[in-house]
Amino acid sequence: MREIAKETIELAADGDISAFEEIYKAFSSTVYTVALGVTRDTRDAEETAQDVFVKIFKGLKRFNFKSSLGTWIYRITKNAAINMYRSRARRRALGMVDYDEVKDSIPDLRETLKEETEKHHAAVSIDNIFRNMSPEHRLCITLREIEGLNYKEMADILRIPLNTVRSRLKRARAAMAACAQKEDLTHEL
Amino acid sequence: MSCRKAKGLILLDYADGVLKGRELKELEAHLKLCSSCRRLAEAEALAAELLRSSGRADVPQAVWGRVRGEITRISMKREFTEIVLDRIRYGLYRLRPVVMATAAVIVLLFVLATARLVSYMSYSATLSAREDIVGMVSLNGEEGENEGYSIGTSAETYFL
Repeated sequence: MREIAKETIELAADGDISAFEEIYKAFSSTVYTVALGVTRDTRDAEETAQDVFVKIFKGLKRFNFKSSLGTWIYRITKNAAINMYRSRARRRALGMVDYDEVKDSIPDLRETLKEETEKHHAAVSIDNIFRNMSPEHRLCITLREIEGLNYKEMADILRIPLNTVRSRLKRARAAMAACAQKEDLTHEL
Repeated sequence: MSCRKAKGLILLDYADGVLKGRELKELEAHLKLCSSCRRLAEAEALAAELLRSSGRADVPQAVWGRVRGEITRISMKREFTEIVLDRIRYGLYRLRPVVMATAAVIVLLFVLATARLVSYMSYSATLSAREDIVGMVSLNGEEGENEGYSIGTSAETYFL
């Protein structure tokens, strides 16, 4: 996790936008990756990232340096991403259709067919891996496999014991392996 | 090594690359013999590799534009609130003698009003007791007739 100087954090907390931009640049990819890992939807992930950074800006005055800025940002992202996932799941369960969502799902003819197909294949395989996982398991897998965090860091962020991290990761990997066996992902690599 | 133990190791320590020594050798020997565990290990490794190769996603540029717009709005609102609060504080400081005199007058008025209310309540209680005594007198005989006796009799009846 990248660290930011205390002075920069304090400047950003006082409303300095260029100091906040430094924090954004350091953590935007992390926030977006975790949000995408949980929601599996680029629009939802963008919305989550925006929401997370606004929350960070509002909350920086209360940041007390007890944990690292990275851990604090991961925690905000975790909550925002899981909330987004649940609110979308509720909307889908109620059968509500989001116009923008439908509009975006219509293929854009300006992009080449080849490019689209390649992207689609990769996305479908990763989406299949995540499909049968709960948001908590998706979060665990994303933090471990993509963000490369260790168990201790994960336990700090998720505020759960180390053993719970291990059991969640074990279940998530079992689901992932079952999906890989079913889909035969060998052609992707 | 049992399949149950092997599966636990495959999904945690082996997948994390931290399995070493005797346990690693035992697991590798088990994988050579057990096709089910071998398939699990291969599938887990393939899926994990696919995830890792997808890498971290770059957030679209438009997101910073939206975040910047939102935080600028928040900053302006925050500044406005701070300016208003500062003016109120400064105004109160400048008008301190007036504010203190007003507060003293309010306290004085409150004390006077309370004293007046207490005196009125005590007067009402006295009046009410006097009416009770007159009522007792009227219970016996005509008004003004044998007053002393009537008061005593009514009072005795009341208490007995």
